Amino acid sequence: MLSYFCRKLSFNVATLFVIVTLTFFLMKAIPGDPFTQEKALPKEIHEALRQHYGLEDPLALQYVRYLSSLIQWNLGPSFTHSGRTVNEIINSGFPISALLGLEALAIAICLGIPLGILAAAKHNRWQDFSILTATAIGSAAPNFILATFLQYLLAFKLGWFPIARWGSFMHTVLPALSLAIFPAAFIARLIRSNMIEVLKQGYIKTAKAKGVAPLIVFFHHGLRNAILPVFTYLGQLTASILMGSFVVEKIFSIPGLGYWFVSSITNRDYTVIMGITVFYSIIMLSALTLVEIAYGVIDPRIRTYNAAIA
Amino acid sequence: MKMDDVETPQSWQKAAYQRFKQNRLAIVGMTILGILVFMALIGPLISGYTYYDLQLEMKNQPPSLQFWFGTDELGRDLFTRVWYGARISLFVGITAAIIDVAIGILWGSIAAYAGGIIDEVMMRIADILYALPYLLVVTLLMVVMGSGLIPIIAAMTVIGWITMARIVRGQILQLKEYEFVLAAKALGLGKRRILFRHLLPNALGPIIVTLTLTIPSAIFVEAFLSFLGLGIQAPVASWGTMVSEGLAALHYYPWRLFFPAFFVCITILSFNLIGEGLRDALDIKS
Amino acid sequence: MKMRLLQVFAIINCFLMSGCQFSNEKPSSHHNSHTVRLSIPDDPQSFDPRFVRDLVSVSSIHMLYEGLMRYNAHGKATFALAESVDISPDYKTYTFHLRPSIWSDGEPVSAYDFEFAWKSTLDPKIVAPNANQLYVIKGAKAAKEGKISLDGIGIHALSPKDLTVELESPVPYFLDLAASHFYLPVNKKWVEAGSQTKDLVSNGPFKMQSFKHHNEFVAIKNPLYWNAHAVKLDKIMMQVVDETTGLQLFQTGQLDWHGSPTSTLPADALQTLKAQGQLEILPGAGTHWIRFNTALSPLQNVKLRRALTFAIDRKSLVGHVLQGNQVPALAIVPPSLRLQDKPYFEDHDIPKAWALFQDALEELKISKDEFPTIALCYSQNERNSRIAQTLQQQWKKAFGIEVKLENCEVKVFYDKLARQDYQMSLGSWFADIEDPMNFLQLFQYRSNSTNNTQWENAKYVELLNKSTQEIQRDKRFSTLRQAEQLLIVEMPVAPLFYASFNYVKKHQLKGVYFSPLGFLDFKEAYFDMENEL
Repeated sequence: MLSYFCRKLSFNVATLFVIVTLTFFLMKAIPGDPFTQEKALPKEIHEALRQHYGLEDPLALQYVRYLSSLIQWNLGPSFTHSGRTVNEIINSGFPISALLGLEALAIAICLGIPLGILAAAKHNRWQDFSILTATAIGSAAPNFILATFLQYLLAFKLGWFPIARWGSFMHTVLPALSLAIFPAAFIARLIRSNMIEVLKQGYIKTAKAKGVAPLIVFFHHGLRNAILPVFTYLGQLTASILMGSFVVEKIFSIPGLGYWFVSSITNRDYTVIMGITVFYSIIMLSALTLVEIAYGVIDPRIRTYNAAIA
Repeated sequence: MKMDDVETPQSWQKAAYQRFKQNRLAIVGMTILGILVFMALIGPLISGYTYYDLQLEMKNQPPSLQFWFGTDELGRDLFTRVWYGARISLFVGITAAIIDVAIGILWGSIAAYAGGIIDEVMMRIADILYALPYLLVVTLLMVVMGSGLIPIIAAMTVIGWITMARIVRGQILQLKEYEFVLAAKALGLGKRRILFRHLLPNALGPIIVTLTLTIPSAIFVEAFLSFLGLGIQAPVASWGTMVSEGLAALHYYPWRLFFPAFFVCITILSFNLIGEGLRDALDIKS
Repeated sequence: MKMRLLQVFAIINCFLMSGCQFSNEKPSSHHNSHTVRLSIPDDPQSFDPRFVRDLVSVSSIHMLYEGLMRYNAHGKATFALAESVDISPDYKTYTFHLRPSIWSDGEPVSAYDFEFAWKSTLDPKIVAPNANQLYVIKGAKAAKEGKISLDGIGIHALSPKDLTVELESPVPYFLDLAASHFYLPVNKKWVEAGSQTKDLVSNGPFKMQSFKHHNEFVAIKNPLYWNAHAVKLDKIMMQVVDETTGLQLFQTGQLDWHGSPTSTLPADALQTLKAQGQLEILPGAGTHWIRFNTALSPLQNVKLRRALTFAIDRKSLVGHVLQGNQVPALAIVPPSLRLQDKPYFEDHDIPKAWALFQDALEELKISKDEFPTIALCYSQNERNSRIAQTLQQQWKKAFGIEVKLENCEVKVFYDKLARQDYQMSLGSWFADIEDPMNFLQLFQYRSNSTNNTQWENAKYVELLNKSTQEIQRDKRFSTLRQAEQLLIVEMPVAPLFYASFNYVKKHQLKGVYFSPLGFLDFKEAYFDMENEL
C-alpha cells in the first residue's frame, strides 16, 4: 500500500510540474500583459513597468525564478491588484468558494442518488418518466441561467432569499442550488442507468430465493456496483466546484475564488493565474487519487495498482 | 413469438434497431429532433426576414402577428434568428459531442484495458489538459486559428472528451475483472475484440448518459466563449449566445430569453429520450 | 440506508440553519440617512494617489485625501488645504499658502508633503503612470527622463505653510489641475513604511474603516479633517456587485447609487428606467470614435474615410442602440469643454457621403463591386457588439459594401491596436483634465501610444505646440479649434458620440459632486429627509 501511495504521489508531483510549466509558457504566449489597457500608458511608462516586474527578462529566467518561489509556497504579488499577494487572495477566497461548493455537492448527492435509485426501481413507470424529464430539464439549465433565474424569481420578486452578497446561510441557498442542479441531474442519470442493469441481474433473484431481504441486497450489492461512475464524476467535479464558479459568484456577489479564475486571465495577472492553477491542480490531483483508492474499496476486484506491479 | 423468428437469428445490430424503433420514448425523441432540424432548415426561409437586417425602430417588440417570436434589441426578427441559431447550436453541439465521445471512449477504454504504466500516463495527460486554465488555452487557440465554427469546435473538444474518458475508464476497470472477460481471454479472443465487442457494450449505460449530458455543455460552453469574445462573430448568433444575452433582459423583454431557452430545453429533452431509447435497445442483457 | 441518508441530511440541514451567520453583516433594506451605499465592479486598485488610474480608485482617493484645491458640489475649484494663492501675471508661478490641518495619525500636513508626493511621481526610479500629468511643471519632464535632478523641478516648499510651483509655460487653469487627484499629497512616513493599505494615513473628509477584498470597502467620517463640520455623511460603503444584481439591490432599497461613474447600468434597463423617470443623465467628458488605420489600403484615402464618417446615422445609434441620451459627436472634443462654436459636419449626410465615396473609388481606381471587405475590430462587450452591428448595417445600406466584424478578447484587442494590426476599430477617450488639449494631443505624433492610426500631420503638430505658448484663453482656444478642424478634414478617426453618464440614485441624496471626468466627491453630500417623496 505504501509503495502504491509513493508511486501516486511522485506521479502527482510530476504531473504538477508539467502543468506549471505548460501554464507558464502558455500564459506568456498570448498577446497582452497586465499593463495593456484602454487608456494606453505612455510607451516609456509601460516599458518601465514591465522592467520593474521583471517581464522583460528572458523567459527561462522568469520561469526559474517563479519555480524557486513556488517551492517555498510564495506565490507572488498580484500585478493588477497592487498590495495584494496571491497567497492572500487564495486564503481569503478559497474558504468561501469551498463552503459553497461543499453545500452544492451535498445537495447534488442528496438529490441525485435517491432520485436515480427511485427512477431505476420504478423503471418505465411514471416516476421514471418524470425523473427523466426533470433531469433533462436540469441538464439544460447551466449554472448561470439558473442563477439569474432563481435570483430574479425567488430573491428579487418573492423576497424569500437575499438577492446577493455573503453573510448567512440564507445567502448560500440560491448559489448552491444553481451549482447543484446540473451535477444532481448527471448523478441521478448515472445511478439510474447502472441500477437498471443491476436490477436485471440474476443475483437479486437469487438473494430473494435465499430469503435475504431484497432491500439489503439492493443496497449492499446493487448500489455498490452501480455507484462507481458517480465517484468518477464526483472526483472530477469536486476540484472545480470547490474552486468556485466565476459566473455564479459574479451574479450573487460572493467574494470567493471563482472570480479570479477568469479575471486573472482577462487581466493577464500572471502570478494569480499561476497561483490559482497550481492550487487547483493540487486539489484536483488529490481528489482523483482519492477516487482511485475508492475504486479499490468499492469493488475489490479492481486492481489498478496490482496491475502495475504485475 | 413465432417459430420462424427463432430459426432465423438476427444479428445483434438488427435486433437493437428493431427494439429502438419500438421504444416509444425514442420515437418521441426522434420526432422532436426531426421537427427541430426541419425548422432549422426552413425557418429562416419562411419568415420573410433575415437574421441580420436591423430595424432599430422595431426593437424589443413582444411576439405579434408581424414578428412571431418578437424582436431583439436591434429590431431583428427573433423567429428567424432562433432558427438560424438552431443551425449553429445543433451543428456545433452535435459535432463537438461526437468528437468528445469518440476520443473519450477510445482514450478511456484503451487506458483502462491496457492498465499499468500506459493507463497512468494516458490519464495523467488527461489530468494535465484538464488542469490547464481553459480560458488560456482557448484564447491561444483563437489567436492562432481566428474565429469561426472550426476554431470553436476545436476549443470545445480540447477538454470536452476528458469526462467521458474518465467514466469509460472507470467502467472498464470494473468490468475487465468480471468472469465473462476471463472466459473470453481463456477462449483466446484478441484484446481488441474483447474490448470493443464485450467490454464496451457493457459500459454503454454511463456512456450514453454522459453523451446526452455533453450536448448541453457544448451548447453553453460556446455561449460562454462568445461572452468573452472568443466565439462566433456577430451578427450570427447561436442559441447559447441568444440565451446569454436574453438573460440580461429577463426583467424587461422576457421573450428574448424564453424562445431560445425553450428550444434548447426541447432539444436536450429529445436527445435524452433518444439516448434512453438507445440504451434500452442496445442493452444486451435483457 | 436511504433513511440514514435522509437523517444525516436533516441533521446537517438543522446545523446549517441554526442561524449560523458567518459575518456580522446584516443585509438591511432599512435605510440609514447618513450612510451611502454604492456599487463597484471591482476593488479600488490602490490608495496611493500617485498610482491611481481607474475611476473607482479616483473616487475613493477623493474621499480619503484633500489637496490644495477641491471641486465643490457645483463643480468649481475652491480652496481646500490652500487658504490663498499668489499667481504671477504671466501665469507661470503659483505660490500656495496652506491652512493648518493634520493627517489621520495626528501629524500636521505641510507643504513638504506636497513636494514629496509630486517629486516622487517625477522620480525616474519610481514607476508612476500619471507622471505626465505633472509635465506642466518646469523641469518635470526632464527630471522624469533623468536629464536633470529632482532639485531642478519647479516645486519648492518655502516653509511648512508655503508651496511655490513654477510652470513650463503659462497655465491659467492650474488651480483646476491642483484640484485633481494627480496633485494630492502623500504621507511620507506611510510610504517609507511600505504603503500598507491597512496602515493608510490620509487627510480627507473620510478615512478608511475596512476593506474586505472583492467584497466591500467602507469609509467613515474623519473627525480630524480640517473641515469636519461641513461633512454630513457618516459612512460610505462601496460594494462589489455586477450590473444586473446592482440594479436589483437598488430597486429593493439596498443600494443608494448604481451606475456611472463607478459601475454600469444594464443596457436593456435604460429604456424602462427612463420611462419611469428614474434614470439620471449627465454629459461626460469623453468621446467614442472609430479609428482608421491610415496606412492600410483602402483607408489611406481621405475621401473614403470622410465618406464612411458622414454616412453614419448617429442619431439612430444613440437613440435606439445606446439609449442613454448620448449626444452624436460631430467633433473630437466633447461639448462640455466648450471648444467648438459650430459643428464641423452634418450627421447622416448621405448625399455628401455618396459623392465622396464615388470620388474615392475613382482615386483608388476600383469599381464598387471590386471594393474590398474591410474589417471593424472591437473588444468584446455588449455595447460594442451592438454598435458594431449597427455600423455594419448602416454602411451596407449607404454604399452596399461589406464590412466584416471582428470581436476580440479585451487584451488581444489592445495588443492589436498597439501593433496597428487592424483596419477600423472602436475606441474612445475620457478626459484626464477638462481641457481640449487632453483630446487633441492624443493624435499629435504617430508614435503616441494613444494614436495608433499611423496619422501624423506637421501643421497639426505646429498648431498644438503654438497653443501651449498662448496665455489668453480665447487665442488659445482659437488655435486649438484650428487644430481640431484640421483633424476633422483629415479624419484619422470618425467621431461617433459623446459619453453620457447614466445612473440611478436615491432622490434624497444630494450635494454629491459628479465630475465630468468621472469621479464622485461626497464631501458635501447629505440625505434630504424632509423632502422625502
